Amino acid sequence: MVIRFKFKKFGPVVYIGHLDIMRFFQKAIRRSGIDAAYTEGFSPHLKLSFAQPLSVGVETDGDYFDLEMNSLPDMENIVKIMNDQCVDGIEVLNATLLDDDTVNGMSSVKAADYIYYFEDLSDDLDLINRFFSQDSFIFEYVRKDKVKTKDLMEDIYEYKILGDNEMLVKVNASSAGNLKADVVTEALEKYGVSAKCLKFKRHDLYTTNENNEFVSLRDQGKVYD
Amino acid sequence: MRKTALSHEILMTVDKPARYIGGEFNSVNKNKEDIDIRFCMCFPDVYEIGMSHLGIQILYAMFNSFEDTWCERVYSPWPDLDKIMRDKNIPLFALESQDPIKDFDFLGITLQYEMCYTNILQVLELSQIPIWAKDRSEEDPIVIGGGPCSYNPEPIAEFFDMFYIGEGEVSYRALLDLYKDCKKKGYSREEFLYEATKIDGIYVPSLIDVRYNEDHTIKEFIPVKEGVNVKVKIKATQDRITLEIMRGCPRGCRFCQAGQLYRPIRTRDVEVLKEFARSMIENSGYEEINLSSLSSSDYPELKELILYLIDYCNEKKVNISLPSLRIDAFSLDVMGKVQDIKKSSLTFAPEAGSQRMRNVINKGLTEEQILEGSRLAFLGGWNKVKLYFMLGLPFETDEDVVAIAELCEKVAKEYYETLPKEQRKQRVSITASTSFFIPKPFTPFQWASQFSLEDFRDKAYLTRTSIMAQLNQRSIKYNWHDTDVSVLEGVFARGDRRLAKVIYDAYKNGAIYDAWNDYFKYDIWLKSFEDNDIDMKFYTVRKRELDEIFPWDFIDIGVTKEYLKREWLRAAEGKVTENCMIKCNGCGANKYGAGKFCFR
Repeated sequence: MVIRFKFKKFGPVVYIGHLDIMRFFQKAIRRSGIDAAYTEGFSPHLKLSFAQPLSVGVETDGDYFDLEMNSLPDMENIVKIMNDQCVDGIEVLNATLLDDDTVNGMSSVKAADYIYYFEDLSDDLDLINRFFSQDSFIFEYVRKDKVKTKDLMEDIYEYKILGDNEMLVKVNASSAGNLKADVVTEALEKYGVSAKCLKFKRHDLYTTNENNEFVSLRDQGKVYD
Repeated sequence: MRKTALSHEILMTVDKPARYIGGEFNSVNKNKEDIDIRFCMCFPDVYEIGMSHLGIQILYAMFNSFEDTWCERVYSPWPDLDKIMRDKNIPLFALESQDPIKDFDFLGITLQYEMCYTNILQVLELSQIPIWAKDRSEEDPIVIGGGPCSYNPEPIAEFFDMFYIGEGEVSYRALLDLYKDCKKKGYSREEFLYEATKIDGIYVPSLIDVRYNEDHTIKEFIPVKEGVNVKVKIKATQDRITLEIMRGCPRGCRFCQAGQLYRPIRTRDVEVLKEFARSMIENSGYEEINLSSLSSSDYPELKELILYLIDYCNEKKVNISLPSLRIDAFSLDVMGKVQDIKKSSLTFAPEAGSQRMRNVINKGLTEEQILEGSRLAFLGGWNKVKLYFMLGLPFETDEDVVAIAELCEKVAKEYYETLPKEQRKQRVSITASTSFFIPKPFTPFQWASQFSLEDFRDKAYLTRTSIMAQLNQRSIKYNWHDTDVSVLEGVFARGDRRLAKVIYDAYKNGAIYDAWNDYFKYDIWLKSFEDNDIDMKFYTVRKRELDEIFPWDFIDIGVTKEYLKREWLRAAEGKVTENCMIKCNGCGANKYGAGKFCFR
């Protein structure tokens, strides 16, 4: 029995790193008193796995962790039970009782949506449309003192202009080809887009179904809000 | 939503920004309009170190249980943020409200080790509070020091408005009430400080003057104002709110300061402890629980408590981290139950190698006990033993140092004699660690000369070569502590007011985070002593006369100087003094009337 929790993170707690977020949820789960499963041995641990780490400083509306259970809690109230143990800035949005054959979040993640906020996009719309319509865009960038080269168009799946200052981009988030969200803004800037990106946040995570269509990690079982 | 004092850009530049944002579960937020007193509690080291400190957690909970007080926390900013704050002129802020500390009523700083002194100046300066107490105005917070190093506050006395000496639970309420009262009456800062000296345990350095003899020893303490008592008295508490199972220690080891400061010994009722353990586990979600005390094996109901905790924690999937226990059949059995013996090692703290030396320091652990404990452990499947020693104890000779190596060898030999060849899965592994002994105030060894840097090095060298000379030397690993820091710690431990300027200059020349090896810069300190024409040896190796007045003598901790002197003389003769749960040795702490053992 596995429950998948979707959570958001905002405000000052975005500066808390992935490891501390894991520790935070471990404690919250223990406090909540739900009957979670533990590993055997001298130092039992919760069977808890996070779909994808999030960089320090980034907000999210759609991150996930899977928790293996011994017995099911009151699913109608599970979101409230968890939120009673959460702090300002961390909120559980819903819980999915996963279908039996679901692969765990970490190995099944294929894509992520990010929403980018700009001062004003209206003057750059043409350029942006042209950027995303390319078949190939070889981009060289530096991360952690290493030079990387990637064809971004292979890892960008979809984009959507949401308004004068918002844009959504779906990128590869698989373990093999994860594209970091800030690489996209860096590439846009290089391409000549002058609108300044103020911030971005993760919106949701996806896996794929048998028809190779993207499915939100949330929708892999019965959802409780 | 909560705000942050630092901008997004700054938080993304510094290492581990989570150190500066607060908002932890169980941290306390109050409405500024509803409270009278804002108190900021500071541990002058980095967040991760300070957060694990039990004392602050106790005081934080106590202060916040007062309706009129909001207690927040602050830690030392790491050097990366320190630089940014100076460049951009950002005042140091408290974690909870993210408000500047300079707007608070109180800044309380805990003094856990001498090497944090420069960090105190950093906290003051970044807070934009004048470093010297005499330069502060009505607008500045009252800066209070407390904790173990406040038992000799003199080297840092002039940076503080007052010290709270003693256990925090006793007099803080009275102090806060006085503060409110003084504010209502429109009293000045100076008037409040004067009134505060009437509370037990409060020491206001600016109101006591120290006169020195020509040789720099202390002549006398003089009250600056009429009515100020030059003897600061401390009271002891009964009430606590953590899984501290016992306060105090009955053993009377002569090198140990905590053993004298926290007298008399006070034990908690075992049923109360069980109840606390349950509610702590349920309310915190922690994965591990540990018991705190100076000498857990002396807690009378230890067996009952541990067996209960093993059952309860097993059910709740919580690990128990055992306190250091006397090694016997019971503790080995318990250890086997709660930890993987293949990975864990057994620890003994003989502190000295020879029996003669252990008698001098009154460490009631015999060679037979160590070897018998080792034998039981080897039979139980352990093959790793750690032994802790001190080098440079008073009256130590070369033979005593060599005895450290010999004791390690005996433990190794015990392994081979206990286990027949076919039962030995691995070679026995013995780790011997030595630290350098530093005489502390309020111990029988406060009269002792500390050994010099050269002596320390010779002693470490002798230990190493003697270990190398043992038959089983390949099974013995030897570690020792840095010598430079030990000398400086020794200076501050028994220092006086003349050192304030040395600390100030060292800080101004870049000394910070001295407790961290990577940051400790001995050269800066040497220069600072030289510039101020102060000889470190005056505080360390100098021989002190029996009737010398010490810088900390104006504090009355309950245990009398007469008793300490008696113990010092007995140490010189190598005479042991009994565990005070068995026989009262008349130390003076029974005047507090606390703790059931003190009445026997």
